[in-house]
Parts: sequence; structure tokens; C-alpha cells
Amino acid sequence: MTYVPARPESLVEDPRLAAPSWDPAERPRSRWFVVLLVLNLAAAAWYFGWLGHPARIGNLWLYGMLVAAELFNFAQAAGFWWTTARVRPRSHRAWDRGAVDVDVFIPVYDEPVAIVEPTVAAATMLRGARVHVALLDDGNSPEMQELARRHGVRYLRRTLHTGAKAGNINHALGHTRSPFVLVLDCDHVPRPEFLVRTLGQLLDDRMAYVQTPQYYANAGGGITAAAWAQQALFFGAIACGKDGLGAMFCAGTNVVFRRDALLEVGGFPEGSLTEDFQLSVRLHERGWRSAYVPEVLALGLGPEDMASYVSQQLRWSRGCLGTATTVLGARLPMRLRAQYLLSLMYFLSGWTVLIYMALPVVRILTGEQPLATLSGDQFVLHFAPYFALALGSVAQAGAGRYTFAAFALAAATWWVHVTSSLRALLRRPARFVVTPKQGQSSWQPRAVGPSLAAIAVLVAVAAIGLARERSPAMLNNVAFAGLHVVVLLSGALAALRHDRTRKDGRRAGPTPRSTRRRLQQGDRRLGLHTG
Amino acid sequence: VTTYLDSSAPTTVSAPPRLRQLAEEQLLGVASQGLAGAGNLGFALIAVRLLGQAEFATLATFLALYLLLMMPALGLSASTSIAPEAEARTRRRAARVGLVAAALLLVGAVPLAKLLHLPVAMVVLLGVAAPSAGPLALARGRLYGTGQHRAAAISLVIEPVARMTVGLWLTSRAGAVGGAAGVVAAGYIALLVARTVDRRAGAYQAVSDPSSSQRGVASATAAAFLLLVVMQNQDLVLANRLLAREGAALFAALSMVGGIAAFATSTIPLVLLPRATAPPSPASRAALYVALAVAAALGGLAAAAGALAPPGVFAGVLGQRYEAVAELAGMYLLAMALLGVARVMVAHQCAAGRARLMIALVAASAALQAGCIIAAPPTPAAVAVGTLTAMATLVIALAVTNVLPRLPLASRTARRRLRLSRPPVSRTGWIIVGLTVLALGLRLRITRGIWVDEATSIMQARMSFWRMLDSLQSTDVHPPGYGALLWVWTRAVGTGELAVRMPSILLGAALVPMVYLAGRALYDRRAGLVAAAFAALAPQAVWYGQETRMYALFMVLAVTTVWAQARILAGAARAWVPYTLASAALLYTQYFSVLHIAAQQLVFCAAWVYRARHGKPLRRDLAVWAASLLAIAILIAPLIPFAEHQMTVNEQSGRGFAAPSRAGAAVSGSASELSPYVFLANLLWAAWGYHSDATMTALGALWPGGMLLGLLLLGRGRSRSTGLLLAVITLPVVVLYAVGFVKRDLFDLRYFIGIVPMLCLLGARAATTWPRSRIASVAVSGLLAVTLVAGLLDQQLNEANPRRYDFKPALRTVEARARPGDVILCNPGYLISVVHYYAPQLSAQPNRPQALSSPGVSGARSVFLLGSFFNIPSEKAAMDASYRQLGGTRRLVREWQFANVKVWEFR
Repeated sequence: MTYVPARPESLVEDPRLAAPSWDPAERPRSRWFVVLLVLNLAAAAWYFGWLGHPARIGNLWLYGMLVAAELFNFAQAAGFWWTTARVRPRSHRAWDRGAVDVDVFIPVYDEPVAIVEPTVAAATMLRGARVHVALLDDGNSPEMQELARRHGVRYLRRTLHTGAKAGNINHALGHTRSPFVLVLDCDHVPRPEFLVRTLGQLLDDRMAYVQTPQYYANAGGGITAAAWAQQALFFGAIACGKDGLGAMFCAGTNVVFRRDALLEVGGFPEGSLTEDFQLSVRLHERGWRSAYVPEVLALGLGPEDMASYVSQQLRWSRGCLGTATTVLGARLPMRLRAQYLLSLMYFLSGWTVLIYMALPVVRILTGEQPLATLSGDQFVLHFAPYFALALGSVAQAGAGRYTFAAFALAAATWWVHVTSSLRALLRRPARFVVTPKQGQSSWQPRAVGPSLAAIAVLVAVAAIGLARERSPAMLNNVAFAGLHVVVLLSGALAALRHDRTRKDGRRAGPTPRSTRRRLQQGDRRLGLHTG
Repeated sequence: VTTYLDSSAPTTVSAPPRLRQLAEEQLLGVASQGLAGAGNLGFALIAVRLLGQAEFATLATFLALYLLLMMPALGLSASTSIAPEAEARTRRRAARVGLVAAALLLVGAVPLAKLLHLPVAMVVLLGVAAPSAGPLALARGRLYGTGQHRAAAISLVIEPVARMTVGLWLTSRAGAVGGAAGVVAAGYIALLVARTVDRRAGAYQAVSDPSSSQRGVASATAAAFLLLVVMQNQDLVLANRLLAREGAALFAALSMVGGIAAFATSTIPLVLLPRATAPPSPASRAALYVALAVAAALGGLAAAAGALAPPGVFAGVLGQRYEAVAELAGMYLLAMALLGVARVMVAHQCAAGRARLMIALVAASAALQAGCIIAAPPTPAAVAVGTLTAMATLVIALAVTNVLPRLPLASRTARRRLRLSRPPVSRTGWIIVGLTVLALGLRLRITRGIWVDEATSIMQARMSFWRMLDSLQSTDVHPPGYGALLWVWTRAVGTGELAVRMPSILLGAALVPMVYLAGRALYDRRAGLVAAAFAALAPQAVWYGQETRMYALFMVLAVTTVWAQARILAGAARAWVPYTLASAALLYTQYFSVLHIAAQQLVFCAAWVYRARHGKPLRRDLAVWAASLLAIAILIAPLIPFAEHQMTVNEQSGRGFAAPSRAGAAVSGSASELSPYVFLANLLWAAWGYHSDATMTALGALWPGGMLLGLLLLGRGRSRSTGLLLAVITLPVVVLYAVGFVKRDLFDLRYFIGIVPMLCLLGARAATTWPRSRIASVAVSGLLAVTLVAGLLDQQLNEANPRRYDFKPALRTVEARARPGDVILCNPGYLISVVHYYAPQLSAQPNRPQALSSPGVSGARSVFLLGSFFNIPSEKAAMDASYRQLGGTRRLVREWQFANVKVWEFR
């Protein structure tokens, strides 16, 4: 399906111009989900009641680490259950206050024209308001200027490039004056009805912004698909739940702001890597409200290689963890504070992976174990229901969108969380890095280096263990080591394949590169290409 | 409605027939044939009383030869029902052939009479009858081929009417020869009527001659059916030639009884043939299923009636001299029932252009039958066994080609002649055949002897039928389905070690194509193939595919119900029939299958709710569902009082399911309590077979693999098919695990063995869809298969397998050392059934407290103490006590240890 009539037919192969294949509002029937959550709580009580008994303590340090990791995960799980249990359908509201002006900001840095052009073209065709599209070029690119000219949109360029994306937007705010501002990442092609579906929520005068999902149209396979599965869980059940709690934070793109709200907090914070997250905290702190419309109204591109993904995760984790003090110090209602903290905490979960990987290694090498000698029966009896139900609730809440690949990818980048938290703790400065919009074809072992090292250690230790003895306890620890190896390897494998982009492209439709080529071909046919 | 195979012939295009119409056609044919059969039987029954023993044997032989003379009766009928327009041309030829045959019979009457031990007059009468045979067959075939089923019915009924009147009058006047004359006269009367009632006579005169392709098919079909008639009758001829007079007479009576089943089903292929179009269409398949169902039901009922009828019934009907027919009636009627089914299959295959293959198969089976009869001892039982063996072989061979219709067996010429589109030549059929053969080979490679439960089943099968049922009801805990099957089987093939295991071996092999069909119905062809491969190799499928117990049948029926349910949910209404029948059969096989059926019913409920919510029409589904439930209830109604009585008796005696089912249940030290490891161990058994306790403990320690599996399931989505499989796996396992906390022994893999093929299907689904590339899929499938093979090898060859009981070598050892008067004490007492099987000549007693002081034991030179089931504390205590007591009064000469079995010799 295409809604860009001026384009030649070949352009419809750009995945961003196709209809989305995901409904963020799809979620389990609440009754069953509530039953599942109750069972989850019961299973958690059953497990932690057993685990917390003093008789379970083996090596105190290891036990402490295990309990800490388990409690951390439980807190995450409980937060997830709490959030997803508060999913409330948000009714659509139509804008009924007559014609309204909306500024559409498309910040760019040095992205290819082919990536940006569909976004600009689609932005000019937005319905439901008088749109004033502005291309905010921080890369001082003549091609971008030409692009803006071709599509008749405003071209804004700064002389001083401070504050990264936030600075770019703030600069644009000073040069525009519409009451509402739509921010689109340059690779996110909006659907014509974007404003029709969102502006109505801003009829509430205290509504600061309306967020919509960030959809990866290129999620055919590989890393993009795994990253998308993570996104789908967030922009599905979690975002809907956050909206039910009034705690939806801004994701930086596909979001419509009220100019007054932005101006009240001084625009986007320029000192943060996650300016959107910090902006949300500030707005909520001042009593502004937020809304989430669970409809795919813009189609973007996700990271296509491990380096891009790692770069994105590093920025998000470092940025979010950097705002921890802000969140803790903010005058937020408890509900909102807890929601922000829960979102921050996710970026610490790499530590639990590290602990879980370390436990079998220590047990095999030293014989020390966190739990006192016990029969495997007892551990399985208490742990299995908790584990199975927790997985079940994730699967159910994510409507089957959260995949093993997504889990493995998150596990394989455990070191990103560890690094970010350490840097945040040590207050090391961070640099805003734009997530690459195109995949690289060369293999990227460095992006998963720590995971590969962990795999090597686990394999070596398991081999040592098997060489020493084959007792059930040893086999059990070797099995745990094997489990980690399989998960890490599954997550890291995408970084070890040659020419993955081409293969993924074949599966998932054209990649941005091929899209660009088609766009160029189309432009030549239309006499639009100037180069 | 007439359908032709050749497009050049006139074609009446009409709507596909409904199931009801197909059933009505078949039932009309069967009813008229039944009436005709009843009349013919009445003629024979009256004749048997009018004539002496030898004279009746002569008349029975004449009847058989008359039938043989009527060989074209079925063959030509079959060919004409395919191509009715060919009748006019064929009739002239048939008349010429009939006249030639008549001339030959008349000329050779004297030597033939001597050869066949018949009066010359009878051979002459055969000659007189010869010219009528072809035209009569053709006339009837044309009636079927042109859809004149009522006219065909009239022509069928008129013949016995004539026999009963004219024939009996002549019998009373002129004895056996008079009876024979009456039979011949009845044939001519039937011919006259058949031609008179044909309203479409002459309708084809204006039509051009049938094409050569039609003629070819018709001729080949006639030949195949001719061979079937040979199979039906040659045993009688051979018996008359090989057996002594009394034996021949007995077999003649048996043949007459068996003829009921064969006769009752003989119209079914004729009704089917015009419907069996090629290439196969939904309508032709529906016609086939209806025909098969009717043939199987009629034959099965006849066989069951013959098996269950008390001897007095036969004595009353046939006369006291033929009371012994009762012993063989069930078996022989079963053989004739199989013939009925075979005829339907042959008809279908002939219409599909595989007549040559059919000729080859039937000819080979006929040769096998003749060989078996000639090679066997000259007894009526041996002749009956030969016939049953041949029929069973034929049906199995036909089943392979019928169930796998995509096999490229149709000759190219036949296809070209028939202008058939080339059948989709696929390797699938051959792969399934190969896997089935592999499965058969693996199951034939038996590495263990008979154990207690099997010996109990064999002991029961050796009893009379009613006594067996009584024994099951009063001393056993299982329904009578498998017992009845084994009872019939052992009547046919005896109780040798391989013989008693053969039903399970065959069922185990049959599991492979059934799993394939289920996999294809649930998912796709690839999943079906991989699942079939897993089913061939699955250690549990092999283990119970070798055991003389009901578990192989349980697995086959369970997967059949799942296949049928998948078809039903996909919209195939006719699958309700196999679903209903298989469900009822499942309940007759194992009581705990009620959990499997309950899970399936829950799936049905969920499907109906889903449909209702999505506004789909539901009334018809609900009506058929209710009818199916009602049919199941009616079918299992006789089982309810049986089960109730059985449970009462078992509860009163305190036996329940207590022994010996706990054998091998220990996996983590304590078998007396359920634990997660026991749960895990049973699931591991289901997937990878029985292994030593040490291996199971090690495998159990790998439970984090389960976590990985859980993670791998994330984002896999849900499908109705997988939901169905998970339901039939989960419900029985969870319920029996819960019940196990009350009655520990009920949580045992055997009682939910139906999950094994389901695991194969799930594994195949995962292996074929989880990997992203074909190569990875093949690699994963291969890897899983390798683990199954490893499990299978360890299970079959490792003597530490806790389910392995080496009674055979133990009893061979005792047998070698025992002298007359020696005693073998069995501990537990039920081991006596194994002793009776392997060493029936040994004096065996259960090891009871008073046994040691009994005269038989105290006076014996040697006392052998045979012990097993050491994991049951009470039995171990009893054995220790006896050991000490024997040690106090006698000298321990020697002791032997085998897998789970010990023997001590005290002297």
C-alpha cells in the first residue's frame, strides 16, 4: 500500500511505505491475564519463601549475589506485572477546535538523503492540521538543503552545533511558532493520519505530549527483528500500561508536543544523552500529563547490525542511568517515580546476567555454591513454576511478540549495561552518537567481544568440570553453563555472520541501501535527481 | 449418476454425491446381498439336514465349484460396473466362453468327477451352468454401473428364492445332485430377472464401442476380482482334496459360515466402482471411506459374532457333528471380513489405474494361501490359519498402497489409456514405506524376553473367550479390548514368543504412517515426515511396539484420534467417523485414555467457543459433535458394567494398580513418593526411553535444558494444532501426576503412553519450523533423531535398564537343572504366569508363608526360589523370609542373577 502518489511504483518496496504488520493494542484478555499475574505472585512467594530460608545459605557471598540478582529480577518482573496489569484502552478523541498549525521537526545529522526523503515527503502530506515541515540539518549538508527545496519544506541550519539533537530541536523552536510540534526522527515516515489520530489527545490543556510507537519497518530478521521484538514488548503492553498509570515517557520521535509545555521546561535538556527521557521527567514533575496512542503512525528503521544496536543501547543505558539522580530528586508522585525507576533499572539487568554466568563457573572451579547442599528436586520444585509463569506472563503480555532472539540479544549485550552503569557511577562523560540507519556488511566481533569472552570461559570451565567428575551436581552446573553459552551465542551470532545485510534484505524486503537505490532510480525517472 | 473414466464416453455431469447417498447405496446393496445370503444359507442349512455328511460335503464342494465357475460373476461384474457400455460386446464373448467351458466340462466330466471326488452328474450340471455365469455377472454389473441399485437388489434376491423353492424341492427328491440342479436353475432365473428389470437396456446400443483403455481397465479389474474369488474358494477345494472326509466336511461347514461374511460384503466394491474415479476426487474418497466402513463393520460384526457365539449355537444350527466349527469360526470369519475389506481396496485401486498391481498382489496372496494350506498339517485349523494369513497379508499390502495413494505405482500405460493426469509422483510415499519398514525391523529386533505383564496377557489369551473376560474382570485392571485382540490373534498364530508380540510389532510399525498422516493434518508434509521418522525411532514406541500389551494399540489409536480431530477442525466432516470409532476403541484399550479423550473434547469445546465468538455457523458442528458423543457412549456402554465390576473386585481385594506397575519407577532413590524428578524422569522416558537409574539421574540433572526450551518457546506464537497436541499431552500427565499423590503407581508412563507420538509430532514441528534454513532444519531433525537412536540403543541393549526383566534366561537355567519333583517358588506370586509360559513343565508355586511347609515343597529334592521386583518392600521382605527359612532347612547350592531377576537353588 502506498500513499505517496508522486513516487514510482518501485518505491513501494521501501518497507517504511508498506502497511505495518503490528497492532500495539493487541494484548491478552484481561481476566486471564489477571489470573496469570496472581499465579505469578503465588509462584514468586513460593520460590522466595523457600530461597530465603536460612537453611539454604551455602557460600554466603555467592548466596548474597544470587539473592540480589533474583530480587532484582523479581522487582523487574513485579514492575512489569504492575505496569501491564494497568493497561487501559485510551479512547480516540478528534480535534474539534478548528484549523490548527503544527510544526513538524525532522532533525538530521549526516544521514543519507534516501533515508530522509520519504520522511520529508510523507510529512508534507500529513492531514488534520496545517503542517509546517522543517528539516533541521545539523550536518550542514547541501544535499539536505536541496532535499528541502525539492519538497518545499523549511530548511534550518545552525551555526553552533551544541546540545546534539536536543540543541537542534531547541534551535528550531526558536524559529517556529505553531502551538504543537511533531518530532520525527529522519528515518520515521509518518502516515498521513498521524495528526488526526493524535491531536485530539491534546485537547486536554495539561497534556504535554502524545507519544506513538516506534515501529521498525525493516524488522525482517537478524538483529533488527530481535531489537524490534524488544521494542514491541515496550511499545505494546508496557507503554499501554504506563499510559494507564499516566507515566508514559517521551521516546524522542513520533511524538507531538504542546509548545507551551516545552517552553515551560526550557525546551529539550541539552546535557543528556537521553534528552527525551529527562524531558519527560521535567514535564511530569511540573504536573504536565502525557498520553500514548497505541497505533503505528510512523514507520522507521531499526538497527541493522550489532554495532548499531550496541551503540543505541550504550546511549540509552548511559543516558537513562545518568538521569537516575534526576528521577530520585524529582518531585514526582510515587507512582511516576516508581515507573521511571523501573525503566532505569532495566539497564542494570546486565549485572544479573553476569552473576548468573559466574555462579556455575565458581561452582565448577572451586566447589563453592550459593545454596547449601540440597536435592535438585527441591530447587526445581520451587524454581520451575516461578520461571515458567514469569516467561508465560512475558509471552502473554507481549502477545507473542517477545522472542527468544530478543532475549538472547539482550543477554548478549549484558556488558553494555555493566559498562554504562560503571561509567555513570564514575561520572564519566558520554557522547551523543546517532544510531546508524544502515547496516554494515562486515562482521563485528568487537561489538560482542565481552560475550564471546564469556562464552570461551564458560566452555572452558564446563570442559574442566566434565573432565573432573560427572556427578549430577557437576552435570547440573555444566548444564547451566551450557544454557548461558547457547543464549549468549544466539545473541552474538548475528555479529559473526558475513554479509548479513544482504541476506536479511532478501528476507525482509529491501534494505535502506536498496531503498535508496530505488529512490534514486525513481528520482532519475522523474527528473528529480540533481546529481 | 454415472461417471466414466474416459472422456470420450458419454458423461453425465452431476453434483458430487452426499455421504448419506453413498451410504444408502451401499446399505441397499448390502441389505439385498444379506437377504440373498440368508436365502442361500437357508438353502444350505436345510440341505445339511436333508443330506448325509458325505453327501452334504459333496453339495458344498459343488457350491464352491459353482462359485468358482462364477468367477467372472464378481470379476465381470466389477469390470462392467466400471464400464457399463462395454456390456453388450462383452456379453457375446462371455456367452462364447461359457459355451466352450460347458463343452469342456461335459467332455471331461468323468475324469473331473474322479479328480474332484464328485458325482459325474454334478460336473455335467456345472457345464450346464457355465453359459449363464458370464451374462448374469455382466447384467448385474451393468445395473450397478448405471446406478440401478434397486434393480440390482431384485436380481440378487431372486436367486436364493429360487434355490429355496426349486432347489430344495429337487434336493429332497434327488439328494445332492438335485440340490445342485436347483442351484443351476436358480442362476438362470436370476439372469432372466436381471435382464428383465434393466430399464436402460439398449441405452448404449447407439453409443460407440468402449475405448481400448476402458476395455483394458475392465479386463484387468475382472482378472483381479477373479483372483479374489480364487482366494475365497480355493481353501475349500484344497481342504476337500487334502483333508480326511470328516475334516473336509468340517471345513466345508466352516467355509459355509465364513461365506456369510464374504457374501455379505461382495456387493460393496460393485457399488463403489462407478464412484471410484481417477484421479481421486473428494467424492471418490468419500465413496471409498463409506465402502470401507461398511465392509469393515459388516465383516467385524460377523467375526465378532463368530468368535463370541458359544459352541452350542453352531451345534444347533449345523448339527452336533459340526460343533467344532465354533473353535475356528471367529478366525475364519475374520479372514472373510478381511477379504471383504480387500475387495473394496482392490476395486478402488483398479479404478485408479493400478489393476496390474492389484493382480500381482492378489495373485501373490493367493499363492501364499495355497502354499500355507499345502505346507501345513492337514487339519481344518491349519487351512483356516492359511487363509487368515493370506487375507491379512493382502490387506496389509493393499493398505500400504491405499493409504499412500500418491505412490507412483500406476503404470504409465494405464494412465495414458485412462487419460489420467499424471499422479503427483512424490517421494513421500516411498519415504513413509521405508520408515515403516525400518520401524518394523527395529521392532522385530527384540532384545528381551516375555515379562510378567505379557505372560499374564498370554495366559488370559489361552483361556476360552468368556473365561478370559471373566479373568480380566476379576483379576486384572485393564479393559478387554487388547485381550480380545490377542485372543483372536493367538487362535490364528499361536502363542510363540514372536507370535504373541506380532500384534504390537505390527501396530508399532503402523504408528509410523499414522503419525505421518497426523503430522500432515496438523502441520504440513515436512513435519509429518520428520514426525514419522521420530516415531520409527522413538525408544518408547519401539519398547511398547515389542511388548505383548495394549500400549502399542494405545499409541496408534491415540494418534488416530488426533489425526481425525485435526481433520474435523479443518472442516472434514467425514473424519467424525474414524474419530468416534477410534475414541471408543481407545477406551476399550486403556481406561486412562479417558484423559486423552477428555483433552480432545476440551479442544472441541474451545473450537466451538471460538467459532461462536467469530460468528461462524455452529449448529451443524454441534449436532455432529453430539452425535459422536452419543455414538461413543453407545459403543462403550458394554464396557461400563465390566469396568465397574472390575474396579469393585480390585478395590475389595486391595490390588488396584499396585503390582507390578512400580517396577523400574525408581529414579532418585525413592520410588514410593512422587517428586519433580519422578515427573521429569517420566517425561524423559517418554522422549528418550528407559535407562538405568544412574543415567536417569544424570539426565535429570540437565534440567536447565528445560529452561532453554522455555526460552526458545518465546515468541513462537500459538496454533490450534499445537494447542491440541499440548492438551492431549498435558492433561493426562498432570492429572495422573496429581492422582499419583494419592495412588503412587498410577503415575507411570504406560498409563499416558499416548503422549509419545504427540511428542514426536511436537518435536517434528519444532525441528521443521524453528531453524530458519532448510539445512538447519535437516540438521536439527537429524540431531534429534540421533539422540533418539542413542536412547534406543541404551534402552534395548543396556542390561541396567530397570524395566528389563530377564525371566527367560533365568527359567532356562532352572529348566536345565530341575529334575522331576523339584519345585520353583515364585516371589512375587504372579511370576507364576511367566513360569507357565517359559517352563510349563516345571512345578511352580507362589511363595506364600505356608508354601514352604507344603508337601510338594518339603518333599522336593531341589527348591528354586525365583525372585524379582525387589523395589517393592513387601515382596522383598517376603523373599528374605523365605530365603532365610529355606537356608535353615536346606543347603544353598547356587544362585544366579539376571536383569531384575534372581534365582536361588536350595537342595
